[in-house]
Amino acid sequence: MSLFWIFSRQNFYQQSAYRLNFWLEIAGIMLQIYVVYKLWNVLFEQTPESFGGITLPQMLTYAVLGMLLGSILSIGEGVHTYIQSQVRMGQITSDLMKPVDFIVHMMARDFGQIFVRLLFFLLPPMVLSYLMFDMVVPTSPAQIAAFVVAVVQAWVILFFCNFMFGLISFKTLDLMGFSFTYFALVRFASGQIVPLWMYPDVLQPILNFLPFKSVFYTPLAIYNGVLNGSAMTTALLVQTAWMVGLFAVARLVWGRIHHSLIVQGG
Amino acid sequence: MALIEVQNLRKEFKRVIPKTGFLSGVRNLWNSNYHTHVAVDDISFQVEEGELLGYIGPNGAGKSTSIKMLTGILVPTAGSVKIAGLTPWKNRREHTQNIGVVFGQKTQLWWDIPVIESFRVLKTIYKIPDDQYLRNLNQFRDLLEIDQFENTPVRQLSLGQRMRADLAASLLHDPKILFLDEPTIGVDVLAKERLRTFIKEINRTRGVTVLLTTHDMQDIEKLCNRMAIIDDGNILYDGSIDDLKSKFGNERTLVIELDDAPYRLNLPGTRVLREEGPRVWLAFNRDQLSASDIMMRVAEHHTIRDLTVEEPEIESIVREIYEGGMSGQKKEEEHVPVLDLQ
Repeated sequence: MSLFWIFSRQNFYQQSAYRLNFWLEIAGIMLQIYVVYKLWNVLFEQTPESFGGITLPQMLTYAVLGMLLGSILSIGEGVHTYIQSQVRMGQITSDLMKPVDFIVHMMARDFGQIFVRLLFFLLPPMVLSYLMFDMVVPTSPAQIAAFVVAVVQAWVILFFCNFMFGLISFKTLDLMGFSFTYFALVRFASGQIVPLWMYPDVLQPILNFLPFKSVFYTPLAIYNGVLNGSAMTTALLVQTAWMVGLFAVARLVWGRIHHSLIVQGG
Repeated sequence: MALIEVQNLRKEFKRVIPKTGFLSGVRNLWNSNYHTHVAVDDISFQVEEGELLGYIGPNGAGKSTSIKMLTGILVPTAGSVKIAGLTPWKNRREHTQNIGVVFGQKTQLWWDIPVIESFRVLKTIYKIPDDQYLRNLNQFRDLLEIDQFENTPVRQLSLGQRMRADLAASLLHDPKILFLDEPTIGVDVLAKERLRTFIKEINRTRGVTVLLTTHDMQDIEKLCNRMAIIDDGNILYDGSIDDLKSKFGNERTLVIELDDAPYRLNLPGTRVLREEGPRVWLAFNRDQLSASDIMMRVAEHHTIRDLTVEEPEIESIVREIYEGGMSGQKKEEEHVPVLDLQ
């Protein structure tokens, strides 16, 4: 546990090393939120019936929070980009020579990053958003608790997806080509931008089959009240199942890559 | 039992022969053409506790590969390694607690954060107790003067400072063995001297065993009591530096400064290495000729203004070994001196 804490501290320093970056990123996030907010406002006013019976504030909460969560549950940057840059610079050996399990080490790093990003890039813009826009609040402590659990589980799921995606760089040294596809896939299939219930029925089985639904859709839909009751419990359990399953696969894949790495050399 | 025992170590790499031509990038994903490259052929040596071993060899000789096997990030094709009773690639985690590693070309510190914060992370990763951490930190502040830059992010450090920080980082957890891969590369003379003093000090006071690879023979001469020369994956020489000098370094150089020019000094048993103005560099074998013999012969025809005898430099001996393997001596004997006395 102290490992998770020390990496948070380390990331705090890292973030505060670039102060201009902080303000630029906050401005960027707020701009994104504003665009999304306006867009959904216009769309909703034109055809409220196509939104499947949810209210405008519910929809706006979903959209704005999707952007906010995006600043911690990051697809563009994370454990995969870290692994890639370490592999490319030949620095990964120093990570492999530490007396900690590689996956745990990477998780602690990622946690540190997310924790600090939560303080810097999620909470302040969230407060701003509530001041500026008309959004719903969770109605019960249980809903808030479920949301927090969903976010934590979403982080673990995304971590393992990113981790395994990053492992590709051990083979190719580069992720550039794959990055864009991965980025687009996760953004589309996770429901970060467009709520999943708005997609055509044909796509639903595919979306259910992918872990990304658990990353954004589940916490967002719990927060705005679309997922409740037994559906919410099911969604949380599905997340847990994904977590366990992905962990097992990640262990297996990493074990094989690590083996071939120490046999063939990096 | 020795601290490090390496026996018949061998490492082969399979290298993909890349395809070229149409869609080569895609087809390379299923490439099955390999050729085997032997990086380390057959290496055996032992290092006792407290030794300072210089491990040298030309680029591509197999130094880094053997270091990687000793640190446990590569598994050998054959052979065995026991370090403090552990097999590095099998007991990876225990082993990392026993060793400190510094790669001169890389850093294990985090780029954007102050040096001291990197140390704190390492403290947690290696589970270093507070008192040990503080004791070490204070000692390094003393010896390496890291307090001058411990609050500076690594990216702003000079190379010399970064090396000092990296050395300190590798020793925080009190390792028994320190692996240094080209620790003085690209560092200026003063900073090199400081690093060497520190390595020597750590070896002397803490009894840390050091295995050092370098291309700088000064490092070897000033630091190591023993050296192993490796080339083409095999050890060519393993022994003390004095032995090496007396075994291969029986060639001396006589530098003579003459009064009169022109001159041609073709003496039997010597060869002219260099001529520069009134000075001539003559190489001779100490076992066959003495400096005074040559002096007398030269004095018969010329007036000698000044002369010095130069000891062989370790660098030139090593160069000869790289070039000619262990038969470096034979080449000397084949050399037929020109009999052309004026």
